[in-house]
Amino acid sequence: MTPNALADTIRDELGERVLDTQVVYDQVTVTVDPEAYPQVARFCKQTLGMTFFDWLGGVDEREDGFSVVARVYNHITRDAVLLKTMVPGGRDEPKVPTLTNVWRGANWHERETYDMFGIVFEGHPGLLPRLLTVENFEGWPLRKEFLLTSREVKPWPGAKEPGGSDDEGESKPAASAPAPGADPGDRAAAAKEKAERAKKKAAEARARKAAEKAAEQGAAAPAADAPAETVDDPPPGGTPGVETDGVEDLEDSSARPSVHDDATDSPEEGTTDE
Amino acid sequence: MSDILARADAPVIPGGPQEGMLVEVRDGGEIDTTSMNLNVGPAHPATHGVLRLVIDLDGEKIKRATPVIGYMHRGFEKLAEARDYRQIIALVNRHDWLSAFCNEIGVAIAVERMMELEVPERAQWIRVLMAEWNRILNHLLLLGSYALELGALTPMFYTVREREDIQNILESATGGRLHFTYTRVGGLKEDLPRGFLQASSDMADRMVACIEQYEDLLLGNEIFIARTKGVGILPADVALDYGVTGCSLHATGVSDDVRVSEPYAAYDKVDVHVPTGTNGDSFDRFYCLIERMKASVNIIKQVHDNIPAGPVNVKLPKIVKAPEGAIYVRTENPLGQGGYYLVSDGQKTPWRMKMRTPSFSNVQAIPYILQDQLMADMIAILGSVFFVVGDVDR
Repeated sequence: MTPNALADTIRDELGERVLDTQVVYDQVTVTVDPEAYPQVARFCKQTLGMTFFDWLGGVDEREDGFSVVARVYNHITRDAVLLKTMVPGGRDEPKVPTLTNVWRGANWHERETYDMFGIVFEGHPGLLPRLLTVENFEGWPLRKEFLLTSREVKPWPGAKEPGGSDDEGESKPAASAPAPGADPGDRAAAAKEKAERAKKKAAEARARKAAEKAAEQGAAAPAADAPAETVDDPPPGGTPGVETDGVEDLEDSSARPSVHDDATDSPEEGTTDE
Repeated sequence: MSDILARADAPVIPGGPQEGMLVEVRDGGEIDTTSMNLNVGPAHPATHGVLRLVIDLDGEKIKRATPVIGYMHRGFEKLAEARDYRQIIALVNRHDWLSAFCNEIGVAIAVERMMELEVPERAQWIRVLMAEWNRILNHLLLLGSYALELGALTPMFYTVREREDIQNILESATGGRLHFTYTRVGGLKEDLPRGFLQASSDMADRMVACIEQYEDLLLGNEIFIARTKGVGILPADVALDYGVTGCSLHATGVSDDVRVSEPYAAYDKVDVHVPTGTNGDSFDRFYCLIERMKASVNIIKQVHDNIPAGPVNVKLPKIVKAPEGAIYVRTENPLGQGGYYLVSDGQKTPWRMKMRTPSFSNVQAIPYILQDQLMADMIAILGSVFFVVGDVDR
């Protein structure tokens, strides 16, 4: 059966229970009334012979809440359908009938979806214990309001990543805002703190050193025109933290012993901090 | 249970099993057994990683087995939402580390279909070549480790020897031994290096003899047959119900294979043989694994004969953005059918990327297979439902 013929069959047979059928990229997506979700599923299995349960998963649909998509497949005719339904209950109490009594395979997929989205499947033999996360895990990881921890700890400069730093104003704490020329490779929060502490202690010496360096290296370093603090950030690919500074300073040390004193301080700090 | 141990008036041997532990034979010959709850794993050598099984035993019989998964959950689906498509290709290399290349092309094909990109012919053929070598790499390890679990130490040395050589060949083209990251949206990283096809062709010829050697070592082995034949039977309808794919499905007699039923890359231009079993037991699953390697070698030879010249890449904009919409792309991974359901909102990162992994569905069927089997067969069954724990947990 061609995808279009399949979509027509489903629409004709099920009438109002099907809200919408779409054929995109040769794939049939059937949007179903949530009340009739198991009914439509049973029709797919028994009448259309889709005995192979492929997968089931949730999708965050922004302010509309969530939707659940399941794919089932007939291995003889090679017809497949993506069954989609909007989960009633919005973002607060998403609840949808289970498919476990149609296909046994839906069991773990629904438990996973519960783990990740908090969607409750009514009639499921047991959504608990949590399948993938730990027992006392808080929050629903795949909801969009759940931010990746690494993005919360270290804001990403600019609206580069979804979640965390789309709005630059709210997510960038003023104290730790990276300077314009800052290197995004500096990830570890610990390294950042270390660098900041070193900044405060040796601020004066560093400002002088940076000026000298900028004069020496000229336009070779991209951060040369940035404010003096940016020198504290390691160059791309370098070890984050003060150690890199130490290496750079040692190179210069033969020429300027005064800076060398400064440089010997920094690595010591680095080791005690850890 | 021997008669001497089972007799109620059997003498109590000093230092031997205590009186209270002896079993009584009742009238009908039924043995009164005690039930027991046994934890296997999560760090058991026979579970291929951190899979834990909680097994309820009645005597030696498994009454109920509950897999406990999630020890390796790394949130790949969430991580994918914070990465662009180029980075995702490096990411999906890692959830099933034994099928890295097959995972890569799934993502690349999904984005290419959404962007309506025309992938160069040569790239399509190289993808088939690499995917099949990856399949052989995967099967070699599973073959070796399964035999190892059944007490046959030798095959592991042989398969690792071949794996090493294949990895060297793949490394010359991709730079990677495990995580190839050779695919790009629209083609491949670069063309094959000079001499690759010759080396690959030589290796394919060698593999034919090697596979025969494995067969001689294992398939005719009485102990191997005794431990796997008729053990852990999975019927076809149950396998479909659970969404089991790969060797475990083919062993039941269902020959559904994505390379045949929905060809991707250049699979529509090669002849793909899908071996099937009849009983759906451990032996058939293992037999399918070996036969699939032969079929893969055959495909590789077809690629060598037909691979066209030409570019392997298309020019892409600096930022790859999939247009708004949703697509599901499935590929035949070594462990079964893998798939990516990609929902894009037109940005350079996916809005949602659901990973359909073969191991997740296969492991879900393990409680069914283990039911009423003997505890001693547990390892023979668990090893034959080929899975990778990273692929289960993602």
